[in-house]
Amino acid sequence: MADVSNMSPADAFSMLKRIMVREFDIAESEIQPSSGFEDLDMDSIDAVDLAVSVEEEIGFQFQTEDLAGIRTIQDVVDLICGNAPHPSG
Amino acid sequence: MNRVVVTGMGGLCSLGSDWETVRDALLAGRNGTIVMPEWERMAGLKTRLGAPVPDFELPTSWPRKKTRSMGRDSAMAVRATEIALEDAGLSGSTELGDGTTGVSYGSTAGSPGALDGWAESFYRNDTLSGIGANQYVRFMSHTCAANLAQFFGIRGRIIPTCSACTSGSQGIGYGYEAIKYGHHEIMIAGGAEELGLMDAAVFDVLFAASTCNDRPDQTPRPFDSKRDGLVCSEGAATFVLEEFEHARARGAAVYAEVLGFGTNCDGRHITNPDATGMEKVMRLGLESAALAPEAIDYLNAHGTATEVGDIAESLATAEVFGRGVPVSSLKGFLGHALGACGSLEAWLSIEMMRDGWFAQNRGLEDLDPRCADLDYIRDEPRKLDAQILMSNNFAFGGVNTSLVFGRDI
Repeated sequence: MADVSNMSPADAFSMLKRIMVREFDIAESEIQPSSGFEDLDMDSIDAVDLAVSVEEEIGFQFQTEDLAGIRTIQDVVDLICGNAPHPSG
Repeated sequence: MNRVVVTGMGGLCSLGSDWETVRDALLAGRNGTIVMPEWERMAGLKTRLGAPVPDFELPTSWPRKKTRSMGRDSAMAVRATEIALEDAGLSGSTELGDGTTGVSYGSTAGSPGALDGWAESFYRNDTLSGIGANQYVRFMSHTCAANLAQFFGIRGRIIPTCSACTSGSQGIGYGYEAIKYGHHEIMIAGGAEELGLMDAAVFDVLFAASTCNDRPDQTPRPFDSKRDGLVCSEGAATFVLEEFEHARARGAAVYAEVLGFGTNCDGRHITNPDATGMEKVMRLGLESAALAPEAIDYLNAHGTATEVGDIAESLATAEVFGRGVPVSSLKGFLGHALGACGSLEAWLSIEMMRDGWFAQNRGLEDLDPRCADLDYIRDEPRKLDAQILMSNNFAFGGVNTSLVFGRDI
Protein backbone atom coordinates (compact mmCIF):
# COMPACT_ATOMS: atom_id res chain seq x y z
CA MET A 1 0.00 0.00 0.00
CA ALA A 2 1.39 3.43 -0.95
CA ASP A 3 2.11 6.05 1.70
CA VAL A 4 -0.66 8.59 1.32
CA SER A 5 1.03 11.15 3.53
CA ASN A 6 3.80 11.65 0.96
CA MET A 7 1.74 11.32 -2.17
CA SER A 8 2.29 14.12 -4.61
CA PRO A 9 -0.56 15.49 -6.72
CA ALA A 10 1.10 13.98 -9.77
CA ASP A 11 1.27 10.54 -8.15
CA ALA A 12 -2.34 10.81 -6.98
CA PHE A 13 -3.46 11.72 -10.47
CA SER A 14 -1.51 8.80 -11.96
CA MET A 15 -3.10 6.43 -9.51
CA LEU A 16 -6.60 7.70 -10.25
CA LYS A 17 -5.99 7.45 -13.96
CA ARG A 18 -4.78 3.89 -13.58
CA ILE A 19 -7.87 2.92 -11.56
CA MET A 20 -10.26 4.60 -13.97
CA VAL A 21 -8.77 2.88 -16.98
CA ARG A 22 -8.84 -0.47 -15.20
CA GLU A 23 -12.20 -0.26 -13.46
CA PHE A 24 -14.28 1.93 -15.72
CA ASP A 25 -12.91 1.26 -19.20
CA ILE A 26 -12.18 4.94 -19.77
CA ALA A 27 -9.56 5.79 -22.37
CA GLU A 28 -6.41 7.14 -20.73
CA SER A 29 -6.30 10.06 -23.16
CA GLU A 30 -9.70 11.29 -21.92
CA ILE A 31 -8.58 11.56 -18.32
CA GLN A 32 -7.28 14.99 -17.38
CA PRO A 33 -7.15 16.71 -13.97
CA SER A 34 -9.89 19.05 -15.11
CA SER A 35 -12.12 16.22 -16.37
CA GLY A 36 -15.53 16.16 -14.75
CA PHE A 37 -16.91 12.78 -13.68
CA GLU A 38 -20.11 13.38 -15.58
CA ASP A 39 -18.08 14.17 -18.69
CA LEU A 40 -16.43 10.76 -18.28
CA ASP A 41 -19.85 9.10 -18.00
CA MET A 42 -19.30 8.21 -14.36
CA ASP A 43 -22.23 8.28 -11.96
CA SER A 44 -22.78 7.96 -8.22
CA ILE A 45 -22.28 4.18 -8.27
CA ASP A 46 -18.95 4.65 -10.03
CA ALA A 47 -17.97 7.28 -7.46
CA VAL A 48 -18.45 4.76 -4.66
CA ASP A 49 -16.45 2.12 -6.50
CA LEU A 50 -13.68 4.64 -7.19
CA ALA A 51 -13.53 5.45 -3.49
CA VAL A 52 -13.30 1.74 -2.65
CA SER A 53 -10.45 1.27 -5.11
CA VAL A 54 -8.57 4.27 -3.77
CA GLU A 55 -8.93 2.96 -0.24
CA GLU A 56 -7.66 -0.44 -1.31
CA GLU A 57 -4.64 1.11 -3.04
CA ILE A 58 -3.50 3.70 -0.49
CA GLY A 59 -5.74 3.33 2.55
CA PHE A 60 -7.31 6.76 2.08
CA GLN A 61 -10.87 6.82 3.38
CA PHE A 62 -13.35 9.27 1.93
CA GLN A 63 -15.81 10.86 4.31
CA THR A 64 -19.45 11.31 3.44
CA GLU A 65 -19.06 15.08 3.25
CA ASP A 66 -16.11 14.71 0.88
CA LEU A 67 -18.21 13.14 -1.83
CA ALA A 68 -20.64 16.06 -2.09
CA GLY A 69 -17.90 18.44 -3.18
CA ILE A 70 -16.29 16.28 -5.83
CA ARG A 71 -16.84 17.37 -9.43
CA THR A 72 -13.51 16.81 -11.15
CA ILE A 73 -10.54 14.52 -10.86
CA GLN A 74 -8.53 17.44 -9.49
CA ASP A 75 -11.04 17.62 -6.61
CA VAL A 76 -10.14 14.02 -5.69
CA VAL A 77 -6.41 14.72 -6.03
CA ASP A 78 -6.79 17.66 -3.65
CA LEU A 79 -8.65 15.53 -1.13
CA ILE A 80 -6.03 12.80 -1.19
CA CYS A 81 -3.16 15.26 -0.90
CA GLY A 82 -4.80 17.25 1.85
CA ASN A 83 -5.30 20.38 -0.22
CA ALA A 84 -9.07 20.36 -0.31
CA PRO A 85 -10.95 23.17 1.38
CA HIS A 86 -12.82 22.15 4.49
CA PRO A 87 -16.39 21.25 3.46
CA SER A 88 -17.93 23.54 6.04
CA GLY A 89 -15.63 26.38 5.16
CA MET B 1 -58.72 -15.05 -21.44
CA ASN B 2 -55.81 -14.76 -23.82
CA ARG B 3 -53.94 -17.58 -25.51
CA VAL B 4 -50.19 -17.52 -24.90
CA VAL B 5 -47.57 -18.69 -27.37
CA VAL B 6 -43.81 -19.09 -27.34
CA THR B 7 -42.20 -16.96 -30.03
CA GLY B 8 -38.58 -17.07 -28.92
CA MET B 9 -36.30 -19.30 -26.89
CA GLY B 10 -32.67 -19.15 -25.88
CA GLY B 11 -30.60 -21.08 -23.42
CA LEU B 12 -27.17 -21.90 -22.04
CA CYS B 13 -26.43 -25.14 -20.23
CA SER B 14 -23.62 -27.52 -19.47
CA LEU B 15 -24.01 -29.18 -22.87
CA GLY B 16 -24.00 -26.03 -24.98
CA SER B 17 -25.56 -22.70 -25.72
CA ASP B 18 -27.71 -23.47 -28.72
CA TRP B 19 -30.18 -26.21 -29.56
CA GLU B 20 -28.06 -27.80 -32.28
CA THR B 21 -25.08 -28.29 -29.96
CA VAL B 22 -27.22 -29.57 -27.10
CA ARG B 23 -29.14 -31.85 -29.46
CA ASP B 24 -25.94 -33.45 -30.69
CA ALA B 25 -24.77 -34.03 -27.12
CA LEU B 26 -28.11 -35.57 -26.14
CA LEU B 27 -28.10 -37.86 -29.17
CA ALA B 28 -24.50 -38.86 -28.43
CA GLY B 29 -25.45 -39.64 -24.83
CA ARG B 30 -22.93 -37.21 -23.30
CA ASN B 31 -23.35 -35.52 -19.94
CA GLY B 32 -21.98 -32.22 -18.66
CA THR B 33 -20.63 -33.43 -15.32
CA ILE B 34 -16.99 -32.65 -14.55
CA VAL B 35 -14.74 -32.74 -11.50
CA MET B 36 -14.36 -29.33 -9.80
CA PRO B 37 -10.80 -29.39 -8.40
CA GLU B 38 -11.19 -25.93 -6.80
CA TRP B 39 -13.74 -27.41 -4.42
CA GLU B 40 -11.04 -29.54 -2.78
CA ARG B 41 -10.39 -26.71 -0.32
CA MET B 42 -13.72 -27.10 1.47
CA ALA B 43 -13.42 -29.25 4.58
CA GLY B 44 -16.17 -31.80 4.92
CA LEU B 45 -17.44 -31.48 1.36
CA LYS B 46 -17.92 -34.94 -0.10
CA THR B 47 -18.93 -34.12 -3.65
CA ARG B 48 -16.46 -32.74 -6.18
CA LEU B 49 -18.89 -32.76 -9.08
CA GLY B 50 -20.49 -29.93 -11.00
CA ALA B 51 -21.73 -29.21 -14.50
CA PRO B 52 -20.80 -25.65 -15.45
CA VAL B 53 -21.59 -23.84 -18.67
CA PRO B 54 -18.33 -24.15 -20.60
CA ASP B 55 -16.58 -21.07 -21.95
CA PHE B 56 -19.15 -18.46 -20.95
CA GLU B 57 -17.66 -14.97 -20.70
CA LEU B 58 -19.26 -11.54 -20.53
CA PRO B 59 -19.60 -10.31 -24.11
CA THR B 60 -17.21 -7.40 -24.59
CA SER B 61 -19.84 -5.54 -26.58
CA TRP B 62 -22.06 -5.06 -23.53
CA PRO B 63 -21.79 -1.56 -21.98
CA ARG B 64 -19.95 -1.30 -18.67
CA LYS B 65 -22.89 0.38 -16.95
CA LYS B 66 -25.06 -2.58 -17.91
CA THR B 67 -22.63 -5.26 -16.76
CA ARG B 68 -21.41 -3.79 -13.49
CA SER B 69 -24.51 -4.95 -11.65
CA MET B 70 -24.38 -8.49 -13.01
CA GLY B 71 -23.11 -11.63 -11.42
CA ARG B 72 -22.59 -14.65 -13.61
CA ASP B 73 -26.23 -15.73 -13.17
CA SER B 74 -27.60 -12.40 -14.39
CA ALA B 75 -25.11 -12.35 -17.26
CA MET B 76 -26.26 -15.78 -18.42
CA ALA B 77 -29.89 -14.68 -18.06
CA VAL B 78 -29.21 -11.64 -20.23
CA ARG B 79 -27.34 -13.67 -22.84
CA ALA B 80 -30.15 -16.25 -23.02
CA THR B 81 -32.62 -13.41 -23.38
CA GLU B 82 -30.61 -11.74 -26.14
CA ILE B 83 -30.80 -15.00 -28.06
CA ALA B 84 -34.51 -15.43 -27.35
CA LEU B 85 -35.42 -11.88 -28.35
CA GLU B 86 -33.45 -12.17 -31.57
CA ASP B 87 -35.16 -15.49 -32.21
CA ALA B 88 -38.52 -13.80 -31.69
CA GLY B 89 -37.66 -10.88 -33.94
CA LEU B 90 -37.97 -8.46 -31.02
CA SER B 91 -34.37 -7.28 -30.57
CA GLY B 92 -34.49 -3.54 -30.06
CA SER B 93 -38.29 -3.46 -30.31
CA THR B 94 -39.99 -0.37 -28.92
CA GLU B 95 -42.41 -2.75 -27.23
CA LEU B 96 -39.72 -3.70 -24.75
CA GLY B 97 -39.73 -0.20 -23.31
CA ASP B 98 -43.29 1.05 -23.68
CA GLY B 99 -44.93 -1.08 -21.00
CA THR B 100 -46.05 -3.84 -23.35
CA THR B 101 -43.39 -6.21 -22.01
CA GLY B 102 -42.74 -7.50 -18.51
CA VAL B 103 -40.26 -9.86 -16.89
CA SER B 104 -40.98 -13.03 -14.95
CA TYR B 105 -37.67 -14.59 -14.01
CA GLY B 106 -35.90 -16.20 -11.12
CA SER B 107 -32.86 -17.88 -9.66
CA THR B 108 -32.49 -19.68 -6.36
CA ALA B 109 -30.72 -16.63 -4.95
CA GLY B 110 -28.41 -13.97 -6.31
CA SER B 111 -24.88 -14.56 -7.53
CA PRO B 112 -23.01 -16.78 -5.06
CA GLY B 113 -19.74 -15.33 -6.34
CA ALA B 114 -20.83 -11.82 -5.34
CA LEU B 115 -22.16 -13.02 -2.01
CA ASP B 116 -18.85 -14.73 -1.25
CA GLY B 117 -16.95 -11.48 -1.72
CA TRP B 118 -19.33 -9.45 0.38
CA ALA B 119 -19.47 -12.03 3.16
CA GLU B 120 -15.70 -12.32 3.31
CA SER B 121 -15.34 -8.62 4.11
CA PHE B 122 -18.39 -8.34 6.30
CA TYR B 123 -18.27 -11.53 8.35
CA ARG B 124 -14.72 -12.84 8.18
CA ASN B 125 -12.84 -9.53 8.31
CA ASP B 126 -15.40 -7.38 10.16
CA THR B 127 -14.98 -4.52 7.75
CA LEU B 128 -16.83 -2.67 5.04
CA SER B 129 -13.56 -1.95 3.28
CA GLY B 130 -13.54 -3.34 -0.20
CA ILE B 131 -17.33 -3.56 -0.48
CA GLY B 132 -18.32 -1.78 -3.66
CA ALA B 133 -21.59 -0.29 -4.77
CA ASN B 134 -22.47 -3.18 -7.07
CA GLN B 135 -21.90 -6.16 -4.85
CA TYR B 136 -25.31 -6.24 -3.21
CA VAL B 137 -27.25 -5.85 -6.44
CA ARG B 138 -25.40 -8.85 -7.83
CA PHE B 139 -26.60 -11.11 -5.06
CA MET B 140 -30.00 -9.68 -4.20
CA SER B 141 -32.77 -12.18 -4.76
CA HIS B 142 -34.29 -10.49 -7.81
CA THR B 143 -30.97 -9.69 -9.47
CA CYS B 144 -31.74 -11.62 -12.67
CA ALA B 145 -35.12 -9.99 -13.26
CA ALA B 146 -33.76 -6.55 -12.36
CA ASN B 147 -30.73 -6.86 -14.61
CA LEU B 148 -32.88 -8.05 -17.50
CA ALA B 149 -35.08 -4.99 -17.11
CA GLN B 150 -32.07 -2.67 -16.92
CA PHE B 151 -30.30 -4.23 -19.86
CA PHE B 152 -33.25 -4.27 -22.24
CA GLY B 153 -35.02 -1.17 -20.89
CA ILE B 154 -38.15 -3.10 -19.98
CA ARG B 155 -40.76 -0.99 -18.18
CA GLY B 156 -43.54 -3.47 -17.49
CA ARG B 157 -44.04 -5.52 -14.35
CA ILE B 158 -41.23 -7.49 -12.75
CA ILE B 159 -42.11 -10.85 -11.23
CA PRO B 160 -39.07 -12.35 -9.48
CA THR B 161 -39.71 -16.07 -9.15
CA CYS B 162 -36.98 -17.03 -6.71
CA SER B 163 -38.20 -20.40 -5.46
CA ALA B 164 -35.12 -22.60 -5.75
CA CYS B 165 -35.67 -25.42 -8.24
CA THR B 166 -38.99 -24.05 -9.48
CA SER B 167 -37.64 -20.56 -10.18
CA GLY B 168 -37.48 -21.14 -13.93
CA SER B 169 -40.77 -22.99 -14.25
CA GLN B 170 -42.58 -20.42 -12.12
CA GLY B 171 -40.98 -17.77 -14.32
CA ILE B 172 -42.68 -19.29 -17.34
CA GLY B 173 -45.88 -20.02 -15.44
CA TYR B 174 -46.35 -16.58 -13.96
CA GLY B 175 -45.32 -15.00 -17.25
CA TYR B 176 -48.00 -17.08 -18.94
CA GLU B 177 -50.58 -15.92 -16.42
CA ALA B 178 -49.58 -12.27 -16.84
CA ILE B 179 -50.47 -12.54 -20.53
CA LYS B 180 -53.42 -14.90 -20.09
CA TYR B 181 -55.13 -12.44 -17.77
CA GLY B 182 -54.38 -9.42 -19.92
CA HIS B 183 -51.71 -7.59 -17.96
CA HIS B 184 -49.08 -7.78 -20.69
CA GLU B 185 -48.75 -8.81 -24.31
CA ILE B 186 -45.13 -9.94 -24.07
CA MET B 187 -43.28 -11.50 -21.14
CA ILE B 188 -39.60 -12.36 -20.83
CA ALA B 189 -39.79 -15.53 -18.76
CA GLY B 190 -37.44 -18.13 -17.37
CA GLY B 191 -34.70 -18.80 -14.88
CA ALA B 192 -30.96 -18.78 -14.34
CA GLU B 193 -28.45 -20.28 -11.96
CA GLU B 194 -24.77 -19.67 -11.28
CA LEU B 195 -22.91 -22.74 -10.11
CA GLY B 196 -21.19 -22.10 -6.81
CA LEU B 197 -19.62 -24.19 -4.12
CA MET B 198 -22.46 -23.12 -1.87
CA ASP B 199 -25.01 -24.83 -4.14
CA ALA B 200 -23.15 -28.11 -3.92
CA ALA B 201 -22.66 -27.73 -0.18
CA VAL B 202 -26.39 -27.24 0.42
CA PHE B 203 -27.08 -30.70 -0.96
CA ASP B 204 -23.89 -32.23 0.38
CA VAL B 205 -24.89 -31.57 3.98
CA LEU B 206 -28.20 -33.30 3.27
CA PHE B 207 -26.34 -36.30 1.80
CA ALA B 208 -28.14 -35.59 -1.47
CA ALA B 209 -25.14 -34.75 -3.70
CA SER B 210 -23.46 -37.39 -5.83
CA THR B 211 -20.02 -38.49 -4.69
CA CYS B 212 -19.05 -40.50 -7.77
CA ASN B 213 -16.05 -38.20 -7.96
CA ASP B 214 -13.97 -40.65 -9.96
CA ARG B 215 -16.76 -41.36 -12.47
CA PRO B 216 -18.21 -38.01 -13.58
CA ASP B 217 -19.44 -39.52 -16.83
CA GLN B 218 -21.68 -41.91 -14.88
CA THR B 219 -23.61 -39.51 -12.68
CA PRO B 220 -26.28 -38.35 -11.94
CA ARG B 221 -28.59 -41.30 -12.65
CA PRO B 222 -32.25 -40.40 -12.07
CA PHE B 223 -34.49 -43.31 -11.06
CA ASP B 224 -31.61 -45.83 -11.16
CA SER B 225 -31.07 -48.13 -8.19
CA LYS B 226 -27.37 -47.18 -8.07
CA ARG B 227 -27.91 -43.40 -8.11
CA ASP B 228 -26.24 -41.55 -5.28
CA GLY B 229 -27.58 -38.04 -5.56
CA LEU B 230 -27.67 -34.98 -7.75
CA VAL B 231 -24.97 -32.99 -9.51
CA CYS B 232 -25.34 -29.21 -9.34
CA SER B 233 -25.09 -27.38 -12.63
CA GLU B 234 -25.86 -23.96 -14.01
CA GLY B 235 -27.26 -22.11 -16.97
CA ALA B 236 -30.17 -19.99 -18.08
CA ALA B 237 -33.09 -20.32 -20.42
CA THR B 238 -35.44 -17.59 -21.55
CA PHE B 239 -38.82 -17.82 -23.21
CA VAL B 240 -40.40 -14.96 -25.09
CA LEU B 241 -44.06 -15.45 -24.29
CA GLU B 242 -46.55 -13.55 -26.35
CA GLU B 243 -50.29 -13.09 -26.60
CA PHE B 244 -51.40 -15.14 -29.57
CA GLU B 245 -53.13 -12.39 -31.58
CA HIS B 246 -50.22 -10.05 -30.94
CA ALA B 247 -47.81 -12.64 -32.29
CA ARG B 248 -50.01 -13.36 -35.29
CA ALA B 249 -50.43 -9.68 -36.12
CA ARG B 250 -46.70 -9.22 -36.47
CA GLY B 251 -46.22 -12.50 -38.31
CA ALA B 252 -44.07 -14.08 -35.61
CA ALA B 253 -43.07 -17.72 -35.88
CA VAL B 254 -44.49 -19.79 -33.04
CA TYR B 255 -42.69 -22.66 -31.32
CA ALA B 256 -45.48 -23.85 -29.09
CA GLU B 257 -48.50 -22.75 -27.11
CA VAL B 258 -48.49 -22.64 -23.33
CA LEU B 259 -51.64 -24.62 -22.64
CA GLY B 260 -51.59 -24.70 -18.88
CA PHE B 261 -49.76 -24.05 -15.65
CA GLY B 262 -50.32 -25.44 -12.20
CA THR B 263 -48.46 -24.56 -9.04
CA ASN B 264 -49.06 -25.37 -5.40
CA CYS B 265 -47.28 -26.13 -2.15
CA ASP B 266 -47.07 -29.31 -0.13
CA GLY B 267 -47.29 -27.30 3.08
CA ARG B 268 -45.80 -30.22 4.94
CA HIS B 269 -42.00 -30.51 5.02
CA ILE B 270 -39.36 -27.93 4.13
CA THR B 271 -37.09 -30.29 2.15
CA ASN B 272 -38.77 -33.68 1.76
CA PRO B 273 -41.04 -33.90 -1.28
CA ASP B 274 -44.61 -35.06 -0.90
CA ALA B 275 -46.16 -37.30 -3.57
CA THR B 276 -49.63 -35.98 -2.76
CA GLY B 277 -48.67 -32.40 -3.55
CA MET B 278 -46.85 -33.51 -6.68
CA GLU B 279 -49.85 -35.46 -7.91
CA LYS B 280 -52.08 -32.49 -7.20
CA VAL B 281 -49.94 -30.07 -9.17
CA MET B 282 -49.97 -32.34 -12.23
CA ARG B 283 -53.75 -32.41 -12.03
CA LEU B 284 -53.76 -28.60 -11.68
CA GLY B 285 -51.64 -28.35 -14.81
CA LEU B 286 -54.05 -30.58 -16.70
CA GLU B 287 -57.04 -28.67 -15.33
CA SER B 288 -55.49 -25.37 -16.38
CA ALA B 289 -55.04 -26.75 -19.89
CA ALA B 290 -58.52 -28.38 -19.84
CA LEU B 291 -56.95 -31.71 -20.76
CA ALA B 292 -57.27 -35.30 -19.59
CA PRO B 293 -54.11 -37.23 -18.68
CA GLU B 294 -54.44 -39.22 -21.90
CA ALA B 295 -53.78 -36.05 -23.90
CA ILE B 296 -50.18 -35.80 -22.68
CA ASP B 297 -47.79 -37.44 -25.16
CA TYR B 298 -44.54 -36.92 -23.21
CA LEU B 299 -43.70 -35.99 -19.64
CA ASN B 300 -40.45 -34.32 -18.69
CA ALA B 301 -39.74 -35.28 -15.11
CA HIS B 302 -37.88 -33.26 -12.50
CA GLY B 303 -35.91 -36.47 -11.73
CA THR B 304 -32.94 -35.14 -9.76
CA ALA B 305 -31.47 -38.53 -8.79
CA THR B 306 -32.11 -38.07 -5.10
CA GLU B 307 -33.64 -41.03 -3.33
CA VAL B 308 -36.69 -39.39 -1.81
CA GLY B 309 -37.32 -37.12 -4.78
CA ASP B 310 -37.29 -39.79 -7.47
CA ILE B 311 -39.51 -42.14 -5.51
CA ALA B 312 -42.10 -39.52 -4.61
CA GLU B 313 -42.22 -38.06 -8.10
CA SER B 314 -42.58 -41.43 -9.79
CA LEU B 315 -45.40 -42.45 -7.45
CA ALA B 316 -47.19 -39.17 -8.06
CA THR B 317 -46.76 -39.50 -11.81
CA ALA B 318 -48.13 -43.06 -11.71
CA GLU B 319 -51.20 -41.90 -9.81
CA VAL B 320 -52.04 -39.46 -12.60
CA PHE B 321 -50.81 -41.24 -15.72
CA GLY B 322 -50.12 -44.89 -14.90
CA ARG B 323 -47.86 -46.20 -17.64
CA GLY B 324 -49.70 -44.09 -20.17
CA VAL B 325 -47.04 -41.52 -20.96
CA PRO B 326 -43.33 -41.76 -21.87
CA VAL B 327 -41.23 -40.16 -19.13
CA SER B 328 -37.68 -38.90 -18.97
CA SER B 329 -35.57 -36.56 -16.91
CA LEU B 330 -32.83 -34.50 -18.54
CA LYS B 331 -30.77 -34.19 -15.38
CA GLY B 332 -28.70 -37.26 -16.22
CA PHE B 333 -27.35 -35.12 -19.08
CA LEU B 334 -27.45 -31.57 -17.73
CA GLY B 335 -27.08 -32.00 -14.00
CA HIS B 336 -29.44 -30.05 -11.75
CA ALA B 337 -29.43 -26.41 -12.77
CA LEU B 338 -31.63 -25.47 -9.80
CA GLY B 339 -33.15 -22.06 -10.59
CA ALA B 340 -32.62 -22.59 -14.30
CA CYS B 341 -33.75 -26.20 -14.60
CA GLY B 342 -37.44 -25.52 -15.15
CA SER B 343 -36.93 -23.25 -18.12
CA LEU B 344 -33.98 -25.25 -19.49
CA GLU B 345 -36.00 -28.45 -19.46
CA ALA B 346 -39.06 -26.76 -20.96
CA TRP B 347 -36.89 -25.30 -23.72
CA LEU B 348 -35.29 -28.62 -24.59
CA SER B 349 -38.55 -30.54 -24.29
CA ILE B 350 -40.19 -28.23 -26.82
CA GLU B 351 -37.20 -28.56 -29.16
CA MET B 352 -37.30 -32.35 -28.86
CA MET B 353 -41.06 -32.34 -29.53
CA ARG B 354 -40.48 -30.31 -32.68
CA ASP B 355 -37.73 -32.75 -33.73
CA GLY B 356 -39.92 -35.80 -33.14
CA TRP B 357 -37.85 -37.58 -30.49
CA PHE B 358 -37.16 -37.46 -26.76
CA ALA B 359 -33.98 -38.18 -24.86
CA GLN B 360 -33.73 -41.17 -22.56
CA ASN B 361 -33.16 -41.18 -18.83
CA ARG B 362 -29.38 -41.15 -19.00
CA GLY B 363 -27.89 -43.55 -16.46
CA LEU B 364 -31.09 -45.51 -15.89
CA GLU B 365 -30.03 -49.14 -16.12
CA ASP B 366 -31.69 -50.82 -13.18
CA LEU B 367 -34.85 -49.10 -11.98
CA ASP B 368 -35.05 -48.55 -8.24
CA PRO B 369 -37.81 -51.00 -7.27
CA ARG B 370 -39.26 -48.37 -4.94
CA CYS B 371 -39.93 -46.12 -7.94
CA ALA B 372 -43.27 -46.55 -9.68
CA ASP B 373 -43.66 -48.57 -12.84
CA LEU B 374 -43.70 -45.83 -15.48
CA ASP B 375 -42.94 -45.85 -19.20
CA TYR B 376 -39.40 -44.58 -18.65
CA ILE B 377 -37.54 -43.81 -21.87
CA ARG B 378 -34.45 -45.99 -21.56
CA ASP B 379 -31.14 -46.70 -23.25
CA GLU B 380 -31.61 -44.45 -26.27
CA PRO B 381 -33.76 -41.58 -27.53
CA ARG B 382 -37.29 -42.50 -28.54
CA LYS B 383 -38.94 -41.32 -31.73
CA LEU B 384 -42.30 -39.89 -30.83
CA ASP B 385 -44.74 -37.70 -32.70
CA ALA B 386 -45.85 -35.77 -29.65
CA GLN B 387 -48.33 -32.92 -29.82
CA ILE B 388 -48.60 -32.05 -26.12
CA LEU B 389 -46.06 -32.36 -23.32
CA MET B 390 -45.93 -31.72 -19.61
CA SER B 391 -42.84 -30.45 -17.77
CA ASN B 392 -42.74 -30.82 -13.97
CA ASN B 393 -40.47 -29.33 -11.32
CA PHE B 394 -40.34 -29.44 -7.54
CA ALA B 395 -38.45 -27.31 -5.03
CA PHE B 396 -37.42 -26.99 -1.41
CA GLY B 397 -40.27 -25.53 0.55
CA GLY B 398 -42.67 -28.01 -1.03
CA VAL B 399 -43.16 -25.83 -4.11
CA ASN B 400 -44.45 -27.71 -7.15
CA THR B 401 -45.02 -26.68 -10.76
CA SER B 402 -46.48 -28.30 -13.84
CA LEU B 403 -46.32 -26.68 -17.29
CA VAL B 404 -48.22 -27.95 -20.35
CA PHE B 405 -47.14 -27.07 -23.87
CA GLY B 406 -48.85 -27.82 -27.18
CA ARG B 407 -47.24 -28.04 -30.59
CA ASP B 408 -50.20 -27.19 -32.79
CA ILE B 409 -51.47 -23.63 -32.83
